[in-house]
Amino acid sequence: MDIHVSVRPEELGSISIPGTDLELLITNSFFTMLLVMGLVLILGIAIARRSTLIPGRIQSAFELVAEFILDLVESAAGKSFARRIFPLVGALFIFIIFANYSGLLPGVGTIWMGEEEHVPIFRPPSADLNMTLAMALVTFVTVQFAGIRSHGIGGRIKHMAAGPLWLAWLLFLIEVISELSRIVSLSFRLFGNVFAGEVLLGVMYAIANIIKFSVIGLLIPVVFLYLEVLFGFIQALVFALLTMIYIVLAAAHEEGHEESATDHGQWQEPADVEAAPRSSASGD
Amino acid sequence: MRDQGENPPGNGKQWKAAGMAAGLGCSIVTGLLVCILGGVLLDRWLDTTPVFTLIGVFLGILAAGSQLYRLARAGR
Repeated sequence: MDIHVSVRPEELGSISIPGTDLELLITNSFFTMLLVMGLVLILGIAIARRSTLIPGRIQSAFELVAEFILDLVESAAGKSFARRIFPLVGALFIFIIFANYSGLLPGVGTIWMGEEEHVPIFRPPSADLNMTLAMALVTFVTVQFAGIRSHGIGGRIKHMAAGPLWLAWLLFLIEVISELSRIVSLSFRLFGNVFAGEVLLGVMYAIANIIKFSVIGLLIPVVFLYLEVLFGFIQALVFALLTMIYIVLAAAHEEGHEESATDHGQWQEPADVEAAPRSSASGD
Repeated sequence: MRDQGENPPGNGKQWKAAGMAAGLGCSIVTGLLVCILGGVLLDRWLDTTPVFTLIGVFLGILAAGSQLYRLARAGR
């Protein structure tokens, strides 16, 4: 059994865009992403249409996930602001977890096309740096938008350079570097973990194939599949959490500012959230 | 539907802290790498080795420290 490792997503075909000379490349990760998006959309629409006051099993499972994310967002952003950023954070979490778990399905990475050069038809979308980078850019733009909306353009710059006047330029520079490095860290973390998981699973399948049908040969991939289930969840959680934290930090009003009673309702400086009573948890 | 008191208090916070801890390492290393690589590339381009590399190291350490402080504070 060959071990196929390609950092680049591989081309399945292309569609010419009418009226232009441009061509839309269909890569295996792009194709799988469309399938994952379709699945999430169909599931979401089906569950939303059939939702009842007393939920069934599938509705309960989805409500559990939605409540888990909502609880996370509310714990950091307060109830009012959380409702505003929840759609983005929740959508990112659900899409990433579906994308990560798509790599564990039978056939992903093992069904090939092409006679001479074997090209896998399916590849997990998050094992493609283009996709993770696009999501990191969406996060970056949203963070800047939230910051500017909360402080204004001048206020955002001032917020980034918060500190003594003689040190402001250095703090601003450090903050700009931090903001830009977030794009790299968000995209490379997700891509690296999922891609490494794919390679690891490929190697383990190859080892299992050599050992054939002994108990050890069957057990090796199973252990790593369970690990990938855990890593897929953790990476989706980390991406969604960091997106949420970056938005909250950008929109935060520093302690001591007069305008810290914001238009975000219950929203507070993240450091103070722990001390604040939460109506949803305490049942007030 | 969402039931009042269904989720134990602090459950979300524990997950948040776990997620932040899992993601902190990469955030810090990336800040350092971006600055150092930027410094090395600038030095190669301007032929000023090691001026910008050293500035990159200094800025990278500051940026990573600032990032660590902010994320750890927000993840509490």
